[in-house]
Amino acid sequence: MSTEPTTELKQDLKAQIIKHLNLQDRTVESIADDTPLFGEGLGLDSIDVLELIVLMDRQYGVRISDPQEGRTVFQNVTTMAEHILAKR
Amino acid sequence: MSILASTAYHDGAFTSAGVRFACVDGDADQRLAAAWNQLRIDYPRFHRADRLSRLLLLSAAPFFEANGALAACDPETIGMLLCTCTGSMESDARYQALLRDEGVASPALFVPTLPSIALGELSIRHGLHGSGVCLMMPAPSASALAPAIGMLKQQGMRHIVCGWADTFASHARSAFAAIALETWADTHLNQLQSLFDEH
Repeated sequence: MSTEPTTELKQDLKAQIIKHLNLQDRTVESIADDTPLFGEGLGLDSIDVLELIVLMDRQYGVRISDPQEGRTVFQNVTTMAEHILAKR
Repeated sequence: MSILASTAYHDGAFTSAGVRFACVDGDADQRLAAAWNQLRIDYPRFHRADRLSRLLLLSAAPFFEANGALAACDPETIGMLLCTCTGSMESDARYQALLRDEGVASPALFVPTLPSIALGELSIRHGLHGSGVCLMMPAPSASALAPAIGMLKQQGMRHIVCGWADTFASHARSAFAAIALETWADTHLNQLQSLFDEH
């Protein structure tokens, strides 16, 4: 099975992130696939990570319980999408 | 003068430095956002905060603008005093509704189910490192705030952002003052109460 995320999945992820984290100043188009989720990118914080973990579980059926795994997964939209494909 | 500046918000109408603007369209969140946008402050985190925090951020913003009453003050000695009746009830209701309707908990919604989180948001926004007090009371009462003001002064605070913020359902209301504690005396409580009564 291919682990190359589709554009559709990444677009859907961006929309979900905007909706669940209430990023009113962002649009799907304004978030690049490799925009960092933290720091100078989307500027998310530790509470947002918890929200992303819930989002991954609810929307995509993927659970993240290992903090080290989270560091790898929550770098940008591409890494999130790759993880979803790998774990589905 | 101990009360250096004041602001007030009442369901869409925001008053600061004698200037009043109002937005009567939309729901409570839209009116609050419209008032914030009038200030032309680029701070995306505002829109992501819970409503009590947004009300406090809006109310205190003019104090920290260029030439604002607290703009040049040491953030280490700026304290915060918030009193509220409904507190975090707006967030509590949203959190409970999500649990009821979708059976899941939202970390982002859970955090502001403590009203004192609003003080944290204000601290983050303006880099304040002073002490904060959040009190629940049925109506704004300056005399009830007196012990807390005294305590903040004892702790070395030289200025405080002090006021009332209350929001639930379609209602959102606040009255805030920037206060200099060095010259503060309980005789100033009447001025603070007048601010609360006017709004």
